[in-house]
Formats: sequence, structure tokens, C-alpha cells
Amino acid sequence: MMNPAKRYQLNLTRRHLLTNAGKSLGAAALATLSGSGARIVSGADPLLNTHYRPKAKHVIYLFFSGGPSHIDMFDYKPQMRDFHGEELPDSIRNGQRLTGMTSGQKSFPCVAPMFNFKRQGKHGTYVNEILPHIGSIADEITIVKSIHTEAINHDPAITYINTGVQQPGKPSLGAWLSYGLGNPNDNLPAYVVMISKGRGQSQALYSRLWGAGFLPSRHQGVNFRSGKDPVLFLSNPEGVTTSSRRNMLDVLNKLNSTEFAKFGDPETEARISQYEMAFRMQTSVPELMDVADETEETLEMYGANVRQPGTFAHNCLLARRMVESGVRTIQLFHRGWDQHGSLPRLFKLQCEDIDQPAAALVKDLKRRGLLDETLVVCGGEFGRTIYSQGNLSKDNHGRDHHGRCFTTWLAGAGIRQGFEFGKTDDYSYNILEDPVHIRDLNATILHQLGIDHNRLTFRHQGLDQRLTGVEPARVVSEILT
Amino acid sequence: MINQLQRNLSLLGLLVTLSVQADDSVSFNRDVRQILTNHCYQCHGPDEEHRQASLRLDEFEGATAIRMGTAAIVPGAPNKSGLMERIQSQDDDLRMPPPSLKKDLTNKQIELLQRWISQGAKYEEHWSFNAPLRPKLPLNQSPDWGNNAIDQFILRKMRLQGLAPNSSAEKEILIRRVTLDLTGLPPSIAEIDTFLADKSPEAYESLVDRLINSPRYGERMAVDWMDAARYGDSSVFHADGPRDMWAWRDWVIRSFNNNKSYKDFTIEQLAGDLIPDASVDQLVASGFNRNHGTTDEGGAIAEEYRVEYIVDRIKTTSTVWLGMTLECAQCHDHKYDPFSQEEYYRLYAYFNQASDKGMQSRRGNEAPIVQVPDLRKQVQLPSANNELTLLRDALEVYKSSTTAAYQVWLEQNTLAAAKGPMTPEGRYAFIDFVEQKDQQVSTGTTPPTSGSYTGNAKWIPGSDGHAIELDGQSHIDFGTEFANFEGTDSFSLGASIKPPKNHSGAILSRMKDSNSFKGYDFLLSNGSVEVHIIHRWPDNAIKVSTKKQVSPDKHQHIMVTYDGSQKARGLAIYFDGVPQELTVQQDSLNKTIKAESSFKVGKRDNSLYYRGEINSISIYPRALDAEEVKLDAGQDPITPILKKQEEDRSTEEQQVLLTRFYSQDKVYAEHTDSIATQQQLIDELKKPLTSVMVMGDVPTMRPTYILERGNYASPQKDKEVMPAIPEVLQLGIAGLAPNRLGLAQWITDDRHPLTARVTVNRIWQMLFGAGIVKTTGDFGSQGDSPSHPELLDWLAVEFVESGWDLKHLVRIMVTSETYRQSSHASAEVKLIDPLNRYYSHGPRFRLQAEFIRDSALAAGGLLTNKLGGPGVKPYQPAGLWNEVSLSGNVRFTQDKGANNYRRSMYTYWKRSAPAPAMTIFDVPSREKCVVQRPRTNTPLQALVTLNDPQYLEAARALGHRMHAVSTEVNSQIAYGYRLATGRRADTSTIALLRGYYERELDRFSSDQAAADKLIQIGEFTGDPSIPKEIQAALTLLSNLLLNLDATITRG
Repeated sequence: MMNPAKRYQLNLTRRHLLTNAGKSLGAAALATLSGSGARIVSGADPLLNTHYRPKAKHVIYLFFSGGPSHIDMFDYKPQMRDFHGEELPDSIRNGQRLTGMTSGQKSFPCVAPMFNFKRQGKHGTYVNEILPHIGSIADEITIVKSIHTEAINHDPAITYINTGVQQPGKPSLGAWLSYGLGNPNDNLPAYVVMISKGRGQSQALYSRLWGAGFLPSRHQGVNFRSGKDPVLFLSNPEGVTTSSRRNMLDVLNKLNSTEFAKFGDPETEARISQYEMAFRMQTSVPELMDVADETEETLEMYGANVRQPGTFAHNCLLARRMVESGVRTIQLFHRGWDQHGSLPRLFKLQCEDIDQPAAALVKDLKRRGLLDETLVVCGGEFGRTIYSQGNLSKDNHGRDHHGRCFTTWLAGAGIRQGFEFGKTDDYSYNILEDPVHIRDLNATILHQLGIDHNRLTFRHQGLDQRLTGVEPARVVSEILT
Repeated sequence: MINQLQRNLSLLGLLVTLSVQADDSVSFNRDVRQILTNHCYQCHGPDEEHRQASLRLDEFEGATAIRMGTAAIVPGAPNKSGLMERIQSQDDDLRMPPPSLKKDLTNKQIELLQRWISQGAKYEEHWSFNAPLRPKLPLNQSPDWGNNAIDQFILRKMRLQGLAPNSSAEKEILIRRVTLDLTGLPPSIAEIDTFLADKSPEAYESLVDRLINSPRYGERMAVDWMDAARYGDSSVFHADGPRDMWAWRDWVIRSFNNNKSYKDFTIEQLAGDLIPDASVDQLVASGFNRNHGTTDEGGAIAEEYRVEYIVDRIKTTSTVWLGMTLECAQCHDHKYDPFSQEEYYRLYAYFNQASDKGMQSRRGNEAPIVQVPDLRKQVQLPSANNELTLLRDALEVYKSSTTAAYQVWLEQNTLAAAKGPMTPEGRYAFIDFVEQKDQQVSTGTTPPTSGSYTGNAKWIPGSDGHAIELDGQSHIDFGTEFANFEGTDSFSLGASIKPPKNHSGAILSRMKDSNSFKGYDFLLSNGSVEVHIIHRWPDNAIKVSTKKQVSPDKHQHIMVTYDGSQKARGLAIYFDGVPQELTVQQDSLNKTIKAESSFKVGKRDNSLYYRGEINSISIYPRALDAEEVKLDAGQDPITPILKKQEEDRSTEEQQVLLTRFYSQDKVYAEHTDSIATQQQLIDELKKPLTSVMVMGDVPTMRPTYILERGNYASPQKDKEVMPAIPEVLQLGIAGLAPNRLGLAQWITDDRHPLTARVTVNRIWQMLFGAGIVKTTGDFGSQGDSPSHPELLDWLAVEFVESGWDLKHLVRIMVTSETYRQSSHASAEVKLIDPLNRYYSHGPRFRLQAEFIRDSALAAGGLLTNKLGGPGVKPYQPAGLWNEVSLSGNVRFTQDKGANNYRRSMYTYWKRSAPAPAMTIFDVPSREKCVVQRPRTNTPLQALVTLNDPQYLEAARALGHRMHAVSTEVNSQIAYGYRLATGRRADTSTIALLRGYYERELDRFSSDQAAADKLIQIGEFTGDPSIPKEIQAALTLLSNLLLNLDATITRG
């Protein structure tokens, strides 16, 4: 006969599912919802019961916070040389609302990119010369040039793309994935976040960007930091050895088992297994974070900064290691992309820091056979304006926020290779063809993980809430293989 | 044992019978509404704009209307009902709901709809919109179980399920449960022992009385209210800068402790500012709706955020008091509940009058604010005022003793006055700019010296017959010996000038640019007067400037006086004898200002040429007082008076003479000094403690338009609406003001169907782990139905009739037998009642974040009992703020001492990066209103209680308490176990813990270094006389105790 506590747990899970989760996500959501979730599904394929056959088992989201200039990276406009210094025509701006930082500006002179574009790969994809390494993977990736958002300021925009609404309170993409798919991993969290500093103006980040919103907080992203405690409070206190801790947990487990026998509270049993997972994390996380076993050749792929913990390069390498260890969602926040001024100098520095590691990550995943099951997404919360913020001089200018179009690239797990999607006008200001709303992007990410964005829901405040909200969203099938 | 088994068997039997006998009558509210709302209302519900085929199924009339010869619902005839045909159609184009919506009905749902229609398709109004009536109590329940009405309702439902009440919880578990629930803290051992020893029938009731009257009760209640009120110490958006709202929290704690009626509690928070003659407290209370996030982002559009703030206030107000998801109607008619978009904007109109701006500050409070007096200081005011009166009396007495001396002074000065106006004594130099030859300018010193000018100085008559006009390229150099003051010298510099508008130029200077600007200057900077006294710029220097500009193109006298204190406060600047308000920009001088430079008029060392007229310059080697400055300015106040006959002098003129007389009297000065000091003390006592952002409305009503799709930029100017209550909830209250006060009075009207129900449900959730309506924030048709509707109504009516008495409400809940049941549940009971929705056993759940930490601090004896006050910054891993903050420049600085041991509710709440040890245990970020916390169980929680220095320090302190209680290890362990869990450990538990302790003791005995490290965690100073290995082993033993399920769970 089934252990009553187990049966109770199943019962509880089933009830929860009936009210809260999409029907077909049964087994997967079960893994998340029962107290000792991770252990129930270990061994089984957690993705068996998704809505679709998933292409991706993992997502790595390289998030560039601040609004990287799509104009200076991917959205090449050869005509722009002729417009340089000329006023942005009203017919292009078309009454578009501007941020409070440039709405008072009297003149809106267009600025051509300071650096040249180069054709890359067999399709001759234009990529700016300051991104030579990303250029070298042009045949691997899909560049979507027609992403758009309504938000024009950092806080609402970064909240919007990460959680589906501009206001706080909703779960992040990674939290939704954890809720929907559970944690495939016995020793590590389902959703890991890593933050690196850039060299430009750093906009603020907020824990809501990887938060669980109204979902149970266990689905929130865990911020892995460089230093002694990659996960907060991970290390045993000084003077406590692993075996001493093991000893303590053995006694603790015995006493908690007695407690369970006394009250029959399934949370007590769950607690025992959570302490065990914590103990395992104390080994698995430091192992994961210690890159000493990487070959010299691999390290060189990622560039010199990889040896410096806390850098974007180092985090890229860790992201690959996390994929190998079975972490579902890995999100890197790289800061410093807010070039309102001094763009030529600062933007180049930013690109230097990310170019080689981001490309190396894709290459490294590929050569290990992991790219097929890992979706890599790279972009920010919006793009930047074609016109100069502040004075345009020979060697200096800035660009303001621009949400009407910007560029994100994707790779791996069912994403077309060497493909460009979406077309903007000559000023890289408006979308001419194939708009992709940030909701569509999120729907597509969910889709690659086997989830129908309409059916991954959670009842909260009277509404079956979803990542993509109530406005229509679509999977961008054109960019899928 | 046999009994238990028999009971369980019979329970199972009952369950089977019940399911066979299931009633086949269908209830709209219970069975049908959910199906229709989930599957049909999106297109056929209250939302007019998105309604398809003009068909609405949310009311009987619409659903049964004949349309094109047929009706969607024909009561009693499912086979004639269009609805049944469409939902069962095999044709994808016809089937409802349309397959593309992915909202297919199950066979069971279709069958329910069929039965409902055949039974007459009776619609019922949504249960929560009808005011609750006090239901009759179920009769003849049980002679030996049940303490109050709650138990009767619970028992009836239990019986229907074939369940029976559980026995009461053991007393030591019960006292811990109720103490944690009502105070958020564990009971002390003495409190447990008192309760165990109290065998009287009222033992439990008097325990509850003690707890509910403890000041800790107010704190405990405030914790959940902080979530609902989205309380934070920071502004949320963009920079997430600091703000001060803690006085509002203090008000909340006080209100709970004073048991302010929930009606007033509500009205004051929603509209305290609109109450006629509102008290400071009532204004503070209205800070409730200023707790929301505000932006300071440079590019933000102010109106967009002003609208967001209103939206947030509606959402918060409706979630907290109405349990309604009104926010759904911001963009369109509510799809499930009867609220139109227009009604939403009528509510919006109440809040649309708020005067706070869309773009707010990242540095502190933004208007409107109220200053909160410091009550502890204010009690000292009467005696301080008294003292002031005494001092003033003493001055009068002194004054009357100086009459004779005054007469003498008067005579002497009348004689002097006949000789001409006076100047202050001891003048060092007076440069009068009388034209001389050879580009020379006389200094008027004794012995006479002179300076020489370079450039094109023009001699002009000026205001007094002789002046110089400089052209911006000329200056006069008086050499290196002239006016060579040190920073510790006192001196005064005066100049009569007529400068052009917004001018920047040095009047005079003695400074060496190339030597880090060593020296001093006196200049105009954009029309303001600026003075530097510099050793090395900028780190060893004084710089002040006047807030006001000098008057352009007018003759005036400017004077700087300096007392040699090397402090900015030792500087004063006068315009025509009137002291000026100064801005201090540098105040760090402590070294010499003497440099190899010369005294120049008309420029600084190499820059800042002065342009305009200079009539005279006077220099004194001392700091003139205000009266003397007037003299130097040519405003000799007494000479003209003295020239008059005594009887011709006005009272004011006599006063001027007296002031002049006393200005040289040291005793008089002592008197006035002590009066001034006392006045300062009084001003200090009157200084506000802090300020709070409060609500305030604009003076003229702002028009409210329906916003198209809820977009701030699309007001529909043809659709202006006035403040009004949604139709379905109108209570027919006459004369409600069309402002927030009216709104608040409506919310708290005794007949309101929602407010009392929503409130009692939230309190029930606090005590029982989940609400009677599980969806605490949604009492609409998408929310859960109440598990015990009659109980909910009974409690709501009881609450209202008690005068909205929260303590009464809490008391009846915790004194029910339902609450007092043992939380033990057999496997069989759990099969029937797995989520304890029938309350077949006592509620058992993990403590909320704050109480876990507070319990550990209490067990260690570290907890500080201070009530209220600003947020504190206890232990937190380094770097968490600047890793995410704007430009990485906001850093967390940990507090020292007692602030590390305050109750967790006072932990400083930075909403973009809240304290991780709290959020890991499910404290919401409080960026938005939350009325229901999730309760999770994760490995990260284990890491907090195992490894966070805060918990390790508490473990060290607990170890010390254990050591102090006995020399016998088993007694120490028993004591520690009891401090942590409130329970007595049995012998096998003690044996297990003892074994662990001995092993650690052995290890630390042979590894003293390890022991040494462990016992240094945290600020707690241990007892060095206890051997290190014992301290360390006790620390780990305590660490284990603080991690027990029994410790972090309330059983």
C-alpha cells in the first residue's frame, strides 16, 4: 500500500494542478509542486509531458541591461552615411513619444554608426566590425531586427521584457519556466542569475527581474555571485567541516522524522529533503563554480577576462557549465549599455567585453553537442535612437532610448541558422516588415521549451495569469527550423 | 488504539455513503458560475465592448432572450437551448467555446450545464455582493465539544464529511501556537510554566487576554498589514531611493495595540487628510496610500506615472478592503464581475484628485508631507518654557539696575554725536578712492601706504564724491605686507560697490593660485557674494556664498566678518547691514592660509577681474558685530537720535539707544546669551521627529476622463466621469461626499457586503493558515467560494456589531475549540481532509520569515524589545545593494549593536534588493500590495538558518544560556530544546542531542583553532571563562536546535 504521506502529497498536488496549472503539464508541474519535487522526477525525463515536443532543455539569456544600440551592432543602414547630421524627418518620427531626456531637444540630427559594418559568414550577414567574434558565428544565429516594446524608460522596459508587464508584481520568465517545468536537477536551482558590471553608465537592476511574483518564491532565480559564497549563505561557518555538518544533519533528520511521525505533517518530510539538497548544493555549487578543470584552450576561447570571476566572460563559461550540470534557465545580466553620451568610446568598450565570450559560449556549446538542446538569447530591454542625444560632434554623440525597433539574436535549439528576420526603415526607427513584440519573443522562448504560452497559467487575483499577458502573442515560427 | 482505528474505519464508511447519496440538484453559485465565467464570459459576459453576437450569459434575461427564433438557454429544456447545441457540436466552426481559445469544456461540465438548465437555469446573485445576515447557529451539535459559534459551524460541516473533532493540543504546544500567532514571538519558559501550572478553567482565556494586550500584538498585526499596504523604506522605481514612512508604521502598531476600531483604522488610512481638523495622527495614517512605488527616472513621463499611482491605489484599496479585482476594468469592462470600465473611472475620480506628482524624488519624502512631532521631547516643553520666562525676568531685573550707567553713557555720547557720524573702532585701513597721481591709491592706514593700479581705472564721483570704476581689465595691487591675515585671525572686509548684473569678479583678494589657491578672497559670482579662505583647495578650505544676489547697478555696502574660528559658521556676510543666508560649500580648513601673494583690489591672483564701481573699502583686524557693520555701512543709527532733544525721541529711537548701550555690556550679553540658548533648546524640542508622506487633494477638482484601453495618453475627453460607487455595491447611503472621505465611509458602512467579510477572512487566514475564502484578495466570481459560507457571514456580522472590534474578532477565533485542536492528523483523516479545509485538525504551518528570525533571537536572549522607529540594517552579506543599484553607488552599511537584534519587521526594506534572509522565507518585495504570502520549503531556507551569521550568533548566545543554566549537560540540552521549541525533550531526543554534542566537543577539543573561529561569529561577546571547545560545541548544538522542524513550525 502506498505510504499515506506520499498519497497525501499526490492528492495535494493534483488538487493544486486542477486549479492552477495547464492540464498537459501534469507530470512536470507535479515535480515542482510537491515538497520534495526534485527527487520525484529524477531519472525520468521531466519534459515528457510538455505541450509540445521541446527543442530546448535549457535557456541561456544574455541580457544586456541599459538598451544596447541596435544601430551600431546589427541593423545596418548603408544609406545612413548620407543622412548623417541631417534632421530626422517628421514623417519618420511620426509623433512618436520621446523620453523626458530628449523631448525638449530642438534638433534631432541623425547619426551614422561610428564604426563600419562587415559582411560575415556564408550569407554575408552585416555585423559591425566591433563585434568580430559574434560576426564569426553569424552562420549559427538568427538575428531578429524587429523586436519592439511600448516602454521607453529603463525601469518599465526591463520589467516588461522580463516579466511581461511594466509594473512590478509578476513572475519572471525563468520563474515561469521553473513553475511549468520543474527542476530537472537534484543539486542545483532551476533558475540561476549572474550579474556582471559593464564600463558604461549602469542602470539599476531589481530582484523582481528574476523574482517569482505571485508564484511560490521557490521559483525565483537564485543569484550566483562571484566570491566565497556563490549562493548566499552557502558555506559552512568557519570551524565547521563537511563531516561535522553531515553529522548535524543526520541528527536533525532523525529528530525531524520523529516529528513527522508525531504530527504527520508532509511539510516536515519535505523539509528533510530540502536540507539534504542544501547539503548537496554545498558540494555541487563550488564544483560548478571552480573552473580549474577547464582546458587552457577553452579558457582562451572566452578571452582574457574569463580568468576574472564576476566578469561577463567568466559568467559565460559558468553558464555553459550550468547547462552541463542540468540547470534549466541561466540568465546573465550585463550592465552598462545606456549610452546617452560618449557612445563611440563607451559602446566600443562594452562590445569588447561581450563579443568574444558570447561567441565563445555558442561555439563551446556547439562543439560539446549542447547547442541543440540549449536556446541562447541575447538582447536588451530596448534599442537606441538614430538621432543624437545632445550635441553631435565629429567624434562624440549619444543616443536616447528607442523601443519601436531593436535587435535580439538567438541561437541553438531549433532556431534557424544564419538567418535574419524583420526589417526596419532606412532610419532604423520603424518596423517595415515582420514585427516581433517582446511578448512574441517570450512566447517563442516558451515554445522552444515545449510550452504553449496560452496554457501556462496561474490563477491569481481572478485571472489566469500568463507570462505573455492578455494581449495576443504569437510564436515566431519563421525563425524556427 | 482500538478506538482510533474504529473511528477511522467508520469515517471511511461514511465517506463512501456520502458519495453515493450525492445530491443531484445543481447550484448556480456552487456548480455553474465557475464554468460560465471561465469558459463563456470572456465573449458573452459583462464586458460590452468585447461581447460577441450581442449574447450575454451572465444574466438570466440575456441568456434566455429569443434571438433569431431561438434562445441560448430555454429554462427546463436543454434540448431546445442553443447553448447546449453549440457546446456539444462536433463541428469546429460551430463548437463553443471556439477551439482556438483552448477553453474546451469537459464532459462533466457539459453534463452539469445540462442539469442546471433542465432544473430551470436559476441564476443567483454572486454571494459576496449580498450583505451578510447573521445565520442561525446549527443546533444540537455536541454536548462536549465546542466553545463558541465558530465550533458549531465547523462541527456541522465536519460531520457531513464523516469527520470528528480532534482532541485539544497539548498545553505546551497550544501556548506556543497562540503566543506566536498573536505576538509573533515564542513564549518564554516562565510563561509556559505559568500556563501549565494554571489548572483553572479560565487559564487559556486569561492567556489570550495577556497576549492580546501585549504591545507585541500590535507589531504582529502590523507585519501582515505592511504587506497589504506595500510598505517600504525605498521608492521602488528606477533609483529606488530612500524615503521615511516609518512613522506611518508606528501609527499602525499603535492603532492595533489601542484596538482602534477597524472602521476608524480604515477611514483614517484612506482619507485621514480629509477629516475636518485632521490631527497629525490622522494625516500620518493617510500615508497608507503614499507607500506605493514612485519614479525618479530622468526620461519618465510624469503623467504616465501619476496615472500609475492612482491605478495602484485603486488596486490596493480594492484588494485590501473589497477583495475585488477592480484593476481588471482599467482597460475594458470587467470580464467576470459586474464592473464596467466607466465605473472603474468613477472610482478613479476619487483618487485622481491626489496632489502628489508623477515625477518624484530619489532622495527622501515628496510633498505633501506632514511633520511628526517628537512626543518624548514635547513633554519637556512646559518646563523649558518656564525656564525661559525666568531668564527673561532676570534680564528685566538687570536692566532696571543699569539706569544710572545709561544716563552717563547717554551724556557722553550726546557730546560725541555733535562731532559727526561714528565708525567702528580699530579700523585697519580705509581706501576711499580719492584720485591721486602716478596711478597711486591711498590705503588710509597709519602710517599711510598706498597701492598702484594697472590698467585703465577711471576716477568718478561715485556715491560720495570719489570712487573708482574698473573696466574688467584693471586692478590695484597693495603689496605683500598689506592685510596679511592668518586663518586663525579674525577680520572684517567691507566694500561699497555698484556692480553690473550677474557679475562675476573679485572685489579684493590675497591669494596664490599656483599654491592651491592659498589665501582669501571676497568676490562676486553670478551676482552672489562668495568668500574663500583656503589652505589648499578643495580639501582644506572654507567656501561660502550668499543665497541672494547683490542688487545690480545700485550703490551698496557689502561686508564680510570672520571670527578666526577656521569654520564656515565663523563667517557672516551683510548687504547694507542686513545679514545674509549663506550656503556652505566647503568647511574643512585647519592649516595656514598665508602665502607669497599681494593684496589686490579688482581681481584675484590671475583671474576674475571686477568690472564696475568701488566707492570705498574698509578693513578691520577683528570681527565686527551686526551693529558695527551698520556703522561701517554709514548707517550710524544713534548719532541722528542723539542730536534730537530727549523729549523728541520716539519709543523706537529710545530702544535703538538702549540696544546700542547694552551692546557693550558683558553682563547684559550673558543674560541674552542664556535666553538665546534656552530658546534654541526649545526650538530643538519642537523639532519634528520625522516626516511622513501623506495624501492631499488638489484645490480644484481635476476632471476625470475614461482612458482608452487604460492608456494615460488617451483620455476620452467626451467621456468625463464624476466620483461614484459601482452600481452593484451601492448601499443607498445619503449624502456621501464625492471625495475619498465619502469613499472610505462607504467602504466602512455597516451594511457593506464585502469589507467585513474580507477582513474576517484575512484574520482567519492569519490564524488558520488559509482563509475561509482561499483567494483572500478575490471575492469575485473568479475567486474561490467560501468553504464555510455561514461561518464567514456569522463572523462578519459579529465583527460589525462589535463595533469593528479587531481584538474581539481575534479573541473569538483563538478561543474556539477549532483553533485549539491538536494538529496531529492520522493518515485516514488526511485522506478525507488533506488540506484541512474542514478543520478536522489544528492548523500546523511554518512560521513566517520574521518570526523565524525573531524566535532565534529570542531563544538566544538577544532580541531587543524596542517598539517602533525607523528601519534597521542588521547582518546582510556584503555587496548586495551596489551590485544592482543605479551606477552601483548605493551601499549597505550594517548597523552595530542593538539594531542587529530588533524584531525583523523593522529590517530596512529596500524594495529593489530586499534583505535576502527575509525574501528566501517568502516575504514579498512589497512593491505591490500582497494579502496572501506563499509558504514554501526550499534548500535556500536551510542555508539561511544553518549558515547566516545572524543565526550562528543567536546559536552562540543560546549556547551561553544553556551553559549558564546548569553544569549538567543533559539539563543544558533540555533547557536549550525548550527555549527553541517550547516543548520538553524526551529522553531519546536528549540522548541523540547529547551524542552529537559529545562528538563535536571531542572534535573541538582536538581542534581549538576551529573552535576559536566558530565562536567569533557575530558581535555577541561570549563568556571567555567558558572553555572554547564547550562554547563551540554548544554553538553547533544550538544551531541544530534552531533548525528543528519543531522550532520553525508552529504546531
